[in-house]
Amino acid sequence: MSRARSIDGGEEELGGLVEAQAREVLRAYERIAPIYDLLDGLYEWSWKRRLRAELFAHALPGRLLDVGVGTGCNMPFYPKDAEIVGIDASPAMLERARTRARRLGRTVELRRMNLLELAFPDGAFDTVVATFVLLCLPDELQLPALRELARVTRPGGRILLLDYHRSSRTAVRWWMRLLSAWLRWAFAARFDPTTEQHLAEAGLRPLVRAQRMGDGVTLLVLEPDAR
Amino acid sequence: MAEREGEVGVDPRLLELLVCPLTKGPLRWDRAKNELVSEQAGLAYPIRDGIPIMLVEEARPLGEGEAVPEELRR
Repeated sequence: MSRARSIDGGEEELGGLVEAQAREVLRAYERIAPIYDLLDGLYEWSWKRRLRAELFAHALPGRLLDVGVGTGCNMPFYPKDAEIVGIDASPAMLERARTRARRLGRTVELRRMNLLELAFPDGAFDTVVATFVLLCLPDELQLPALRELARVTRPGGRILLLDYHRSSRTAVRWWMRLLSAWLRWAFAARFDPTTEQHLAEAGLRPLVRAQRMGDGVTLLVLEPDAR
Repeated sequence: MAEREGEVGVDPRLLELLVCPLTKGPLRWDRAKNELVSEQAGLAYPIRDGIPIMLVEEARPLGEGEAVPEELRR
């Protein structure tokens, strides 16, 4: 049975890429799960928290999917009455997420999944969130990922994204270049995801596009085109 | 058990929200084996520590005769 057939335009080649990518991300996050919050702590407390709060202000009531829930950094910002489902590829990260949900007294349904092959029916969610997740994907998988997120978002629902953006400022670019090998090894991530080039093809309309941290981070609120 | 506390257990209501990641078809919960069975794909997805593992590479291929819904078996 071909793995690729669940992916739009699914060639075998893409299927192989999906599996290779899944392995790389899994390896990185299984390795880093125990110290993730420590490593990312300075960023989290100095600016990521503020951006998460801003992003979640765009969430709709109802059912929310947190894609790449990780250690649960988004949990404090979930809308109060929303029904939350969190997915991640890494069991070690899911274990951390479970612990945090318990500590915060939040009900979060956790499932292990690959974001390119979501096990949810079409239009299952009012809001789909992915913070610092799509930057783990190579160019070829940006469109399939966006299409999969769009598929599980209901018509009129919203997709909320936060990702790094390749800065136009020379000093910041040098800094990013310096850190990129570390980012790749530790988080299987990159500073210059090409997500935004594929929005139209994925049938997604930006409602909000904002740059933060100078232009080092992009905040996107997207709506699927009417189907 | 931890997964019985309700915060991360497999809520039957939320099981309705899950489909097979490969076929996007329906799943059946095999309570005895604690698996989510996709008849169409011929795969059984395990539930470990209350977390459904919805990955094709972690799924168990169904054996002969297994791919028949329980209610149709004799």
